[in-house]
Order: sequence, then C-alpha cells, then structure tokens
Amino acid sequence: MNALVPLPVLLPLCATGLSLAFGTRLARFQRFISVAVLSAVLGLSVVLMVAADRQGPLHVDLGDFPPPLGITLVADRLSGLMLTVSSAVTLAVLIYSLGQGMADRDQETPVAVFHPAYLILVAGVSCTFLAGDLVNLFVAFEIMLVSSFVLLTLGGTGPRVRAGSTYVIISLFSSMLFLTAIAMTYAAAGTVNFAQLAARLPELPLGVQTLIQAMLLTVFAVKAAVFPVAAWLPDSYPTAPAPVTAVFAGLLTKVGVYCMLRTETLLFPGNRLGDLLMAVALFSMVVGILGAVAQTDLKRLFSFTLISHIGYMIFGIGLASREAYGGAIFYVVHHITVQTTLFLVAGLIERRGGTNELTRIGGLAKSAPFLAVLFFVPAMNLAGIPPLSGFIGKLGLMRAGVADGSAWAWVLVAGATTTSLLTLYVMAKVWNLAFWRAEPPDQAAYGTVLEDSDDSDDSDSDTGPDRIPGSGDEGVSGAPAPAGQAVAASLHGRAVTTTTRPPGAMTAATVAAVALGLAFTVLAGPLTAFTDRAAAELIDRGPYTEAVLGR
Amino acid sequence: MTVSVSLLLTAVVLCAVGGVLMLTRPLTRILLGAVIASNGINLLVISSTGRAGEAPLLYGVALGRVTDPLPQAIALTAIVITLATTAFLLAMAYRSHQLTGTDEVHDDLEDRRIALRAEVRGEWEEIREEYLTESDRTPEDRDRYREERSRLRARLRADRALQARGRDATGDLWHDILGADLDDYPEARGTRAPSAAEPADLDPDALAHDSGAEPSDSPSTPGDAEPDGPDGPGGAPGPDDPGPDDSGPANGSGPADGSGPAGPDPSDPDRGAAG
Repeated sequence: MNALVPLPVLLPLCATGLSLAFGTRLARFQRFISVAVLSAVLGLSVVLMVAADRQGPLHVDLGDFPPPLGITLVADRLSGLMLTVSSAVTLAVLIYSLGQGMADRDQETPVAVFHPAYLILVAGVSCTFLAGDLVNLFVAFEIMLVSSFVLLTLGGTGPRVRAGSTYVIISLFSSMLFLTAIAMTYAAAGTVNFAQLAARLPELPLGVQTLIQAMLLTVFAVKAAVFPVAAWLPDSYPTAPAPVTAVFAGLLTKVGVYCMLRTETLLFPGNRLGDLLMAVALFSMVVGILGAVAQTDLKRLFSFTLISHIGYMIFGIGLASREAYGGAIFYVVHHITVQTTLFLVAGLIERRGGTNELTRIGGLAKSAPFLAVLFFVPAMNLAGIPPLSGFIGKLGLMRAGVADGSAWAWVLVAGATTTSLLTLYVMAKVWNLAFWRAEPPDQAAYGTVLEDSDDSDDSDSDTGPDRIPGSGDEGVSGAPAPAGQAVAASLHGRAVTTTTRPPGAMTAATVAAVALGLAFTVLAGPLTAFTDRAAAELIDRGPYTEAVLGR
Repeated sequence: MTVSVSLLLTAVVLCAVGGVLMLTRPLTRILLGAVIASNGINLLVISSTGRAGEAPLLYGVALGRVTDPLPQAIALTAIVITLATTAFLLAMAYRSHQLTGTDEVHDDLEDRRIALRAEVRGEWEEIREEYLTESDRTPEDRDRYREERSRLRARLRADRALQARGRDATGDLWHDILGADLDDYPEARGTRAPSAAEPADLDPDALAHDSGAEPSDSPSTPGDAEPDGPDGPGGAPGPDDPGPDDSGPANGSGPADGSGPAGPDPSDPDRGAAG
C-alpha cells in the first residue's frame, strides 16, 4: 500500500510528457490522457484516504534514503482528504475547460500548453499535500507556481500579462522568504524532515523557534491570501480564464492553509502565536467581505469573498483545539468545492450574458433558470444557510470558539457571524443584479462576438513599420482595457461568443461541482467524524512521527 | 556551529541590492533584483552548512570531516528553480514590452481610482472647511469655492469616464459615466422602473450636476477642466500621480499619453495602463 503514495505526483508528471509529445497533432488523445490521468489520481486519492484512515499514516522514502537525507512522502488522514477533494475538483474543472476549449475551437494553438501546464499544477498540488519535509514542500510549491504562472498568462493578452506580473513577483518574494526559512531551520535543527523537526525544534531556544514559526507562517499566509498580505489576489485572479481562476481560487489558497495546519500542529504545538493568528483571521474576514460588498465585477467579488472566508480557517487554526482543527479541516473541504463552483458559474454567466460586470447583466433568472439554480445553491452554501455544508463548517468553528471561551474567541465568533451575514448580503446583491431584475436594454444579445482586449477592429491603430512577428515592432492595437480589468475572453485570450446554450461539458462539470458541495451536506456525519479523527491525529503527532521514523 | 562571516556578509549585501531592485517598476529590473536576491539567499542556505570540511565523497574521506552536502543540494535545487522563473519573467517582460511599449508594472485601475477619490475628497473637505470658517465671505470667495468644487468634480468625472472605457470599450460612454439610467434609452423610457445598477457614487450632488449636462458634452468636459497647478485656496497638491508612468486622467505628461483621457480616440492613454 505504501508504494501507492508517490503515484498522485508521478502520474500527472509522466502524463505531461505524453501530453506535450502528442498535444499538437492528436488533440483528442491529449484530452483523453488528461481526463484518464486525473480520474486515476482521484481513485488513488480515495484509496490513500481510506488506507490512511484504517492503518495510520502511509509513507515512502524515495530512493530508500532514510529521512534526514532522502525525500519523504507521507499520506495521513489530512493529506488523504485534501488529495481526494483536490483531485475531484481538478477533474471537474478539467472537464469544464474541455467544454470551453472545444466551444471556442481553441485547440489549434501552436503548442497546446494548457493540458501540460494543468497536469503539472495537479502534480504540484498533490506533492504539497504529500510532502514530508520542508524542502520537498518548497519544491512542490515551485512546481505549482511555475505552472500557475503559465496558466494565469495563457494567451498572453495585455491584462493577463499585467495581472501575471503582480502574481509572479509576489510568488517570487514568498519563495525567497520560504528558502530563507528553510536555511534557518536547517542551521538551527540540522534537518528539514517534519518528523525529525517535530522532535528537535522544541529543544531550541524559544526565540529561534518563534522566528522560524513566524517566517513559515508569513510564507504560508502569502500563499493563502490572509489579510495583510492578500492584496495580490483580487488583483491577479480575475483576468485569467474562468476554469483557471476556479482551480486557483479553490486549491492554491487552500494549499497555504493546509501548510499552516501541518506546521502549526506538527512542528509548533502549543499555539504560541494563536492570538496573532486570530487577529489576522478577524481582519481577513471583515476586510475581505467589505471589499466584496463594494465590487460590481463578479470575479473580483468572488475573489474578495475568497479572502474573507480564508479567515474562517485561520480562526480554526488559531484556536488550536481538537474541535477547532476538525472544523477548520471541514471548512477547507467545503470551501475548496464551493469557491471553485462559484467561479465556474461565473464563467457560465460570462458566456451567457457576455460580461461579468453586474451592472450590465440582468434577467438571467428568467432567461436561464437552470443557471440561476446553479448559482443559487453554492451561493447559499457559501453564506452558510442551514442545511448546507457551509453552515456545518461555520457551526463547528463557532462551537469551538465558544468552547474556548476567551474574550478573543468571542470576538472572533461575533466577527464570523457578521461575515456570514455580509456574505449573504453580497450573494443577495449578485442575485438581485444578475438574476432577479429585468434585463438591461444593452445586454449583449445571444451570439454576440465579444471583442477581447487584443484583437479589435484595428482600423486606426498603429500597425508598425514592419509586421515581422517577434521583432518587437508589431502594431500596438486593441481597444484600451485598463489594468486589473477582467475581460471576457476564452482560454487563449480570444473573443468569446455568447450563447443561449452553454456547451454541455461546461454545464455538466458545474453540476458535478454543485453536487459535490451538496454531498458534503448529505455525508456530513461521516465527514465530520473523519475530520475529527484527522484533527485528533494532528494533535497527537505520535502516529505521524512513528510512521516516518519507524516504530 | 561556526558560520563564515564573508559568506553571510555577501549574502546580506546581495539580498539588499536585490530587494532594492525588486521595489522598482520595470519588470527587467525586478528580474535582475530577483536573480541577485536569490543568489544571496542561496549563499545563506550554503552558510547553514557550518564550517567547511573536505569534499563529501563516499570513499577515501573520513566521514566525520566532510562538508554537509545537504545544503548544497538544496541550493542547487533553488538555483534550477530560479532559472525557470527567470526565463518566465524574461518572456513576460518581453511580451509586456510588445503589448504596451514598456515593461513597467502599472497600478491596478481600482487602486488608482480609490487613491484619486480619497485625494479629491480630502481636497474638497479642505476648501469647504476654509470657505465655511471664513468670517467675511465675499462673492469672489464664493465664486472661487464653486470653481474649485467643479474642478474637483470634473476630475472625478474624467476618472469615471476612464473606468467606463476600460470596462467595455464598445459600450455607450454616456451610459457608463452615469451608470445604467434607463431614461437615457428612448426605447426603454417609461416601460421599466429605473434599475438599481448605478455605480456607487462618491458625490450624489455631482451626479445630479452631471445629469443636467448634455450627453455629447461629457467626453470633452474632463479634458478642458484640468488645471494642474495648485491654484486653489486649498493648495491642490498637483496632479494625482501614483506612478512615474501613470497616464491617469489628471496627468497630461505621460509618455504614452495622447489626447484627453475621455476622448473618443482609441489609441490613447489607457494603453499605458493596460500593460
């Protein structure tokens, strides 16, 4: 069973090679490879999750080098659960993007780069969840980031390049910080393996411990987009194609939260920085949701709710009790699914109404009732309306806060309630503007070809002295779209045609994502029991270190 | 553990140089900064080895005396990763240059808007305060106050026009400046209730003021209402200029600047901001 552990990383990486080799000629084969590999990863993840639950953490030393030297991959309950949810979501998003790509006839690009980049992203995310040492975690982050750079700037249009540069620079910065933290950890403790660090870090002076903890927390906070370091997120996500934004919003930020959960429980037990975490959680929740209230662009609005709801998970980590960790894990699972679904729906709305700008669309409840249902369910789920999983997650966290009983915890509970209400307000605003009100007179008619930012009717634009591509002297054309502006565009930055009937694969994938969100409600009993066991395992630390270092 | 001071010092200097470069705007400099800083951090990683020993070979060297090879492996990995990122950043800088003629990272539209609004608001409060506290108000004072006020409104209006053009270049400019007001559409007039789609406006007074204007005036209004000089009683602090290459509505000197910001000409200042 242990031999299965590296497969969620290796399979997508190997498939990337195949995908690159066949991609240009056999587009259908490339799509088949991607879907098959991601389905296999999903199956593997479920197996790993069940096995880790039944027989304790699984681990593998790559190359059979023992822990201080070799690379260790570990799958415990938390990793298994995260792997399962992430691979389910990535599969849904892949199918969605296939639908969109086929509808836009995007497959005839010179190098079919979307599929390879997406597979590498999946490998990177899986590697993060399985990493058993800090350096491997760093490498996994980098795999994930480099492929996300490519996905974010797909098509290379002006707005995407600009948004991409913000993202690349902030990622570079956090990577450097991470590497510095690794150097410090190694200098102080002589190892970077989690299981060994868990034994050695408590022997260090308190100041050194706190320094390392603060460095790592800062790095992960940048990844997770926690409030003081979250400004990059709404700036860079909305311009990317809808499926890319969906998978980024769902997974990449949660990877940061996962790393915080892992390091806070395994390496730094005792919750010394708990109050600080709770403070940033409060600010994330409130500032994020207030930002969302002010937005009228759907994707930007969802980006702000994303920041806000990261606060809930940080709240759970800051409380550091078994119930709180359980609640936080449940919330991560719920939020990955719901946030991804909402961005997928935003993509469908864009395709239907021609734009994501809420002031310019309307009447969708009448003209596209099914789309309205697809939006309504995850929106209510995000706001935490009782039978849905958002409510269960928030309830678990708030119960943990009340059980904690300190003044800070009560403040956080109040903040979480307010945020939940404001989320409901934001969702009601979106509902009213996009779905409930009458159609605005200038709404794009169906079948309208929406110009994107870089191929316009360049009737009066500068075509440049020579038209040799790559010479840097091409014509600078295009309708002006200021920075940070989300433009309706396809995967490769081409123009989008609005349709009354979105492609079947897109709708099917969105329906699957909504159904996954609803399944968390139906299976809430087993799921909360599982997250509770996972939290217990995290707090105990024994099973993890024993599995890695040998009994 | 003993640490080589020369390694540490070099690392610190490299990180400082790289950090300063990364704080600049052009992507090429950021790239250079990233390369230099990551070299510094790699030195930091290597300095965590401790005292230098013999080459870490498997045979022929006493195991207790070799240098710790692990930090070197980590540094190697980091170097490879930096190489990949550098390549990507270079490509992006080139693409940015291709698209916009410059490789600078521009301000987010929304950040600029918020900054401008705050600035205009503050200025207005200031001159209002001054006007209200004045003991003997002369008609000239009043005129000057009103002139200042309309100047500030014009600036916001120009900004709204810029934003509207960004949102959808094919849209109706007038519609975008004022928000979706159904009364502007002859075919829809009287058939539907006014929608709730008006953008949040800083100043309802200004909106009312705008509504009285002729739609066709609007594009030209901001262009001629831009006295940049600090001529008001509030001492207007020059043009709003968040960046060195900002081609915002109140800055007529940007290199990429063409006509007035709200002019109908598509080959204009937004190109700078679109990068």
